[in-house]
Amino acid sequence: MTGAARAKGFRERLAELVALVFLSVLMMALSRLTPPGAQDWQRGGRDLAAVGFFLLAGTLLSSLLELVRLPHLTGFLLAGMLAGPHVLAAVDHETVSDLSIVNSLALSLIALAGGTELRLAALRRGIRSLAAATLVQNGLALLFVPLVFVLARSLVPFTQGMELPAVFAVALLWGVVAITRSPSAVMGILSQSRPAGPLTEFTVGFVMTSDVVVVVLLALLLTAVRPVLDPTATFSLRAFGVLGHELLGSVAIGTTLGLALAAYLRFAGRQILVVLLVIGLVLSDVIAYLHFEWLLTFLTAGFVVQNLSREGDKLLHAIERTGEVVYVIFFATAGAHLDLPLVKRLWPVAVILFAARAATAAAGARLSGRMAGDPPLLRRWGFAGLVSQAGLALGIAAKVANDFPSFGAQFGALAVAAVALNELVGPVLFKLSLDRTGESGKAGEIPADEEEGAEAAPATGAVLR
Amino acid sequence: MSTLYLLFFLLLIASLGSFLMGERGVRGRGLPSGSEWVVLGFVLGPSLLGVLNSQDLELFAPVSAVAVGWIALLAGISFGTDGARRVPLPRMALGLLSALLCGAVVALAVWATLEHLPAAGATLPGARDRLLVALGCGAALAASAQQAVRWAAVRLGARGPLTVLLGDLAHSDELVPIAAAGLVIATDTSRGLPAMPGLGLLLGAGLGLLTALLLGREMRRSWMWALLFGISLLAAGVAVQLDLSLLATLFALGFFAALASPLRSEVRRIPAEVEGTIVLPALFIAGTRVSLGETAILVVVAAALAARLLGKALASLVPLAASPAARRSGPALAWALDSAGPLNVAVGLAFQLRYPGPVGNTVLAAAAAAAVVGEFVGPVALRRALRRAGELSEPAASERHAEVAS
Repeated sequence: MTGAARAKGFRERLAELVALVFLSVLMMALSRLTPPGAQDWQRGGRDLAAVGFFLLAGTLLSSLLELVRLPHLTGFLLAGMLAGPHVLAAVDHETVSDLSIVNSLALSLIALAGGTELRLAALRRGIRSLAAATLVQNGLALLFVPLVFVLARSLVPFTQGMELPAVFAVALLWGVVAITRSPSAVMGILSQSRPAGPLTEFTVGFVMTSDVVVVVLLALLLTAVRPVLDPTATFSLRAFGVLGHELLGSVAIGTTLGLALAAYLRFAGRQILVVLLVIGLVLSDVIAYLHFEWLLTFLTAGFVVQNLSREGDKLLHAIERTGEVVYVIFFATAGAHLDLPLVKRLWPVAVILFAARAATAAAGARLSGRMAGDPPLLRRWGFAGLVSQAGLALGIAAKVANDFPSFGAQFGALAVAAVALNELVGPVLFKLSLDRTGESGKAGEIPADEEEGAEAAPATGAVLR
Repeated sequence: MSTLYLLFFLLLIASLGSFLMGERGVRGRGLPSGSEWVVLGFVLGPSLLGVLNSQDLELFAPVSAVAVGWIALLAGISFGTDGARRVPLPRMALGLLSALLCGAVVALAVWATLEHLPAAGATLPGARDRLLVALGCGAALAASAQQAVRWAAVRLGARGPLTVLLGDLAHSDELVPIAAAGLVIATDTSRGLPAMPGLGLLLGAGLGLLTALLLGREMRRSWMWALLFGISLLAAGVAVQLDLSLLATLFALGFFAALASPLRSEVRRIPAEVEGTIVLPALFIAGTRVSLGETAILVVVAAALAARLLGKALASLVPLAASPAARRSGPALAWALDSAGPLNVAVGLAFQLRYPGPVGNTVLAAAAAAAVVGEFVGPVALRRALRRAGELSEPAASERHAEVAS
């Protein structure tokens, strides 16, 4: 079978549109038939139908959006938002939260793919750019975005009545949210555009390593601002001990996993899909149970496979194949998760904070590019892949909500609103930048995988001939 | 952590499944119908060792539904075909007639056992439940495992008209259990939803045609997978929600998608690639859900198995009368198609999911037992029949000794 896509005609597009409408109507009718609180057997069926629907709607809508050159990821997100509880209500809240099980699988694949994309040679080539960007982007975001937050505090409901030092402390926490990036969005766009070039190398390198920086900075800032926000708290460095244990442990487990994976790919090399499922569904739970950072673990594992063995490309292709289905469900579920009424309520401040973050990223790219002597295209477009935000930002917001209950819930709500904007605009911007820099499509198609082809048992007739 | 164990087991089995049911595997490893996985599931399940408990199994009910659905989907996609070759209509009719005959004999025997043996009817006092068990057992034990004939052709190297005839019969008898199970489930209103016979078929046919339409002539692998996987999950979910027959819906989906698509050979090939990955975990799940704790179940299962042997013997008269190649094999043909495989177990599992309790447990136990017993009877009889028909070479003396020992 060929992997090449051809241009679709009017009739095919029309068929896709009609199918999308038909399936949406079917799901809406079904959701009316089985109201919340349905029996277990109906709930199981509802979840299955929702997974299938998200996969179909995401695939069809992303195909239709190709006409206006929007990335597939935007199609997946829009499909989830439209079908989700706040617009058509074809899939309800309960079902959306049931489907969160796919998150660990998708994020594991994303981290593994991210690590595999980090090639040591490319990192060496771009080390100056990455170091400068890490310093400038994070430094600027931690200075400028909190400043905007403080200036816009009259629009932020939960800062009303807070002392100025406390507002500054909350603003710093918002700064940590602002420096999070979205490996999932970057990998989603890469799997569609299949780009190659300096912008791709820079974005992957920066985004994948930024998670580690964020985790460290979060621990640092939480320790620093806690006494300001919680008068009963005292300054303690214990958090750093725990963090060190987590980071070192994760790298150690990741290295072991990477070596094991490389050995499997080298000596067995079959059924990589099932191995990936074991990693994403079983191992991620085990690692979380042991209190290690599974994102960092899988990132390290991918990095080890890519750089300490010759099996990196094989692993990457297997992940891309699996991701083709998993990413659709993951992003559509993420779209359905977006609390659109909340975004509507908080949109003025969310737009200000979104604009401040994007502007900081753009300015940071120019400044760090100049410092590192990057080519002009990288200086101009280097920020585009850094705008998207997703799970990690919301995870930090959840941590803040847990640690500071007095304002945490509203902090989380604002994070949801801002992340929603970044999640929608970021992928479009990144795809645009890859198209404009001419990097799209340069990596070529995924080669046909020998081990997955022609594995079907032969038919009796075929054997007899 | 037990849920994780179950998930891990399933993934491990899926991996092995793909290996065992691939061409290399068929040539070298595994039993013809894969019933060892049913046994493994039973041993590890709550009925015996209890490594996996009932609560975890309930959490995996949607996975079980998907497994049942995919087995039906695969059956629908390949129905009436053997690879690229279409099964001739007269042979399809023979296959359907054989399955109908066998299913009817089993259903009647189970009904009679429940009515006349107090030990069997003790846990099923109601006439409705007895009828359900009889029809369920009839449906689950009607068809033969096509894998057994494939095994004979691939692993033993059988060649000739009888091999083709038996392959054709096994490739066309699946409609009987699926239609019977579909009718029983679709007309049942015990869950408070109205009876909607035919709606499952209609839904499956509609979604199958939609699949074919959307596939168009697009050869991109990810596109085909997203459509097939998405539509099959949607169809399974809708069928469960509306209390329609999962088997009938997915069978119709697969049949119409393959029939209407210009890419039918691709459509048939892609799901076959994951056959092992789906089938063996499904057999394992079915095994974990088998419960043989009550004497009544054992009595009904014994009656059903005996009736299946009788039914298959009677059904073998159909090809004997119709084909000279079959006549050469003589009485050995009686149980040549006694192997019960994934579809039989899937029908049992579908009943167990739809009727949790004595009804579902009895039907699933009968299906699982038929798969295990069929593994001992079917391949031996098949080999003998093919040898007598001259389509399989005589074994060397050492092989004969090994065969006797096994």
